Amino acid sequence: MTIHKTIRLIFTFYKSFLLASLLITGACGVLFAEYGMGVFKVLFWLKTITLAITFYFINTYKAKEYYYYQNLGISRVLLWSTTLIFDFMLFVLMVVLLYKFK
Amino acid sequence: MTHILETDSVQLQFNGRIILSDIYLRLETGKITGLLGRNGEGKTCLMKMIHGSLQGDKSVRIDKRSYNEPYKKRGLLLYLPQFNFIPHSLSLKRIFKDFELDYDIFQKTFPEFGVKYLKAAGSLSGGELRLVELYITVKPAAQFALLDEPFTHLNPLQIEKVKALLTEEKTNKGLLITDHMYRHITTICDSLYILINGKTHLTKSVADIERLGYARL
Repeated sequence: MTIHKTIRLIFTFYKSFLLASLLITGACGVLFAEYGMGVFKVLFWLKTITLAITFYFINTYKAKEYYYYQNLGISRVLLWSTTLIFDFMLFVLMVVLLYKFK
Repeated sequence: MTHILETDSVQLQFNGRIILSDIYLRLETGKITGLLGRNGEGKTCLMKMIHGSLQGDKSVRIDKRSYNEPYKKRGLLLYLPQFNFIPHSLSLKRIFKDFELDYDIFQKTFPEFGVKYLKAAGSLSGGELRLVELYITVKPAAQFALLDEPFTHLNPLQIEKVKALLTEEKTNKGLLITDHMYRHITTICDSLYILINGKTHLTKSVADIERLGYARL
């Protein structure tokens, strides 16, 4: 399987919680821009906990869809590790950019 | 070249209740193998263990090479679970692209899908969705396919077409099928196992189905 196809499939999975996750990241961005480094710790835990809740809900309500990806050779671990790391990196990148250009 | 999948040394228990304990199953490309058993005997668990999505003590060998999670190796085996598994937002176009299948060939066998190429999986009826799921599990290039209740939700005409499809596809792969519509299985399978009390029994004749207490013929 090509890397392009793997990325396409992982992105399809990511889309199942992309909107909710971007909203949380955006809200964290607004709060960070408003209150600065002082609230970083709170925002870090907010993002981490909401990601954990997302993981729980997707794992509970969309577990049947894993077989679609497994039949295409993509494991649950690969789906979650790539999407969670990417999503968290977006959060970190946003905080770094806001800190630098504030 | 013939490929052989063997599984044995399977141990599975839930809350102290032994589900699977004395298993031997052999699949072979070019053959359809049936697996019958009453509800709760562990047919689905056994399939999931072979597939690699359910962990437990087991030995799964394909051409004498051991695999813990065979689904991770492309071209080895595919699994049709007993429930719908395609993400509902995906269109048939996208699904066939993912599995590298030709929609025109599918449409020739199942003309009712002619106008549904761009439709989302979630908009299909239960039977149509099951048919698509079955097709994308059976048709891609893989050595083995495990089918859990493939005839559920299908109408009699579709079942006949599916049986023809399975018979055609067995020339390319080994198929393991379990379904309570056992008469459909017995008409197409080359060998038949019955799972009872955690143990697989290879039947020698159709009469064994009754002898082993699965059904009254």
